[in-house]
Amino acid sequence: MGLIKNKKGVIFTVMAIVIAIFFTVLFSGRVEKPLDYKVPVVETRITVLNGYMNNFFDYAEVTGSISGYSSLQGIITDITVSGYNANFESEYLYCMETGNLTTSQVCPNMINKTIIYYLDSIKTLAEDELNIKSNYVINSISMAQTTDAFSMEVYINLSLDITDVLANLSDTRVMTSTVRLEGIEDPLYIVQGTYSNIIRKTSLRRAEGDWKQGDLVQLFNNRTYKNYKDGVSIINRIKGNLSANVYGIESFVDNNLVVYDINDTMVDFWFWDNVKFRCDTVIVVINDTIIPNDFQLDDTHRLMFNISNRNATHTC
Amino acid sequence: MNKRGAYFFVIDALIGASIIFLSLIIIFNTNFSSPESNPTLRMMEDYTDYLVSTRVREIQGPITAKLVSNGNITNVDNTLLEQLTEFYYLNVTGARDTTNIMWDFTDEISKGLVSEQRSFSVYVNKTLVYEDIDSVLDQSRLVVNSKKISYKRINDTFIYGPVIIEVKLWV
Repeated sequence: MGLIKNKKGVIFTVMAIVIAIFFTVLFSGRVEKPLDYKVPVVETRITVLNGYMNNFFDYAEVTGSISGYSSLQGIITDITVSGYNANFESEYLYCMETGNLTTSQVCPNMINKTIIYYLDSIKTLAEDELNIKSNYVINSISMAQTTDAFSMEVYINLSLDITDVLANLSDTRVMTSTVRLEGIEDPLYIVQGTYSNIIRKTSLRRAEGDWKQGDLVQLFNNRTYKNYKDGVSIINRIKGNLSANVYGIESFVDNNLVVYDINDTMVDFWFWDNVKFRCDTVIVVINDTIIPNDFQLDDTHRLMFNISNRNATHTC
Repeated sequence: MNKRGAYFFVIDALIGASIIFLSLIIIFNTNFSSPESNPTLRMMEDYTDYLVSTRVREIQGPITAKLVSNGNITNVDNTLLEQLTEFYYLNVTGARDTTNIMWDFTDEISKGLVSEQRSFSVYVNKTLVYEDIDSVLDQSRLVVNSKKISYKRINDTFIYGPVIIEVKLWV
């Protein structure tokens, strides 16, 4: 009876429960939503945005090569109709960007091949599938031949802005796209020649001074091209500028297919440009059972291929 | 009477202290438990990063070796993502039926990367090319997915893509 009457014990129990509820309420906020509870979601989204940004620039580099090669083919097709293209650089880049050679002239076969078409396609895909809104600006496009006679570089200065609820990202990069200069018809043969020749680099790898007569035979038979620092570069061949260039190349004209005289050498840029040599001093006929009879070369090239005097006869 | 009252107070205080103590233990234990989605999310990110950054030449497996030797893989410098895209391109253009090739290739390159308790599937351009199912997707407690943009240069004038490669992982 005395216990029931004494209510102090009940008070302690009630106090304990109140304190327990107080702590539970105090800490339950932290339990459900810690300060960094959204961090993985934000991190993941920013990783996706960063991934897209890298994808975009990588894609621009690859499609720069593809668009650049298509544009080159367009220019070559135009040369078959209009002759050499003295404004090659500007028309080439304009073709690559817009699909036109000039404001009034279409660049052949450039439908769905321009750099803008490719960049629009990845931008649209990102918007539709990844819910990423972005805008790009091509700040400039330029080109140069700096590394190899059979390729050139296209530089695309590109800015990309990504707008998202969680982050806005911007970057500007210069992408370098390498454009192969093989597999196209040689403009020199198109404009000044009597038959066509596809530019293909020889598989022979020779240092200066190591070329042999057998190499000349292979170059002749395969109609392939080799580097020649005093030759005419592919870009100059497109422009109709037949001056020597450090990225010069050369091939050898098939004397069975052309009319020539004792003053001609079969080096393509001299032969098609109708350059005449003094036969008594420089032109020799190569005596080789594989090369057609009466194949002629200037003395510089005879020495380049290490052809002995015994295998060469002056034309007059 | 007073002695029994003292016992009562002591027992009552012990009960109160136990309630407080247990409450605190429950609160703090809950606070330190990590969310379930994190390991799955990390696994997903690791898997897609692996597809993006690993080249075919780095894969040591009989199926990949056979695909290289019989000419189905022509460039071992392709990333796994590019190789899948190329297989898919060959399939959709009708050049070659690569349905089984894609399945076997993905199966081999995924070995040991996704734990057996988790199921996952790989889609190229919304077409299922591989799945490893442990539980039904519709009944799963957690699903995470990752989408990557992929493309493959086919030749000098043609690129296939961009397309989306999607990986779904669920528990």
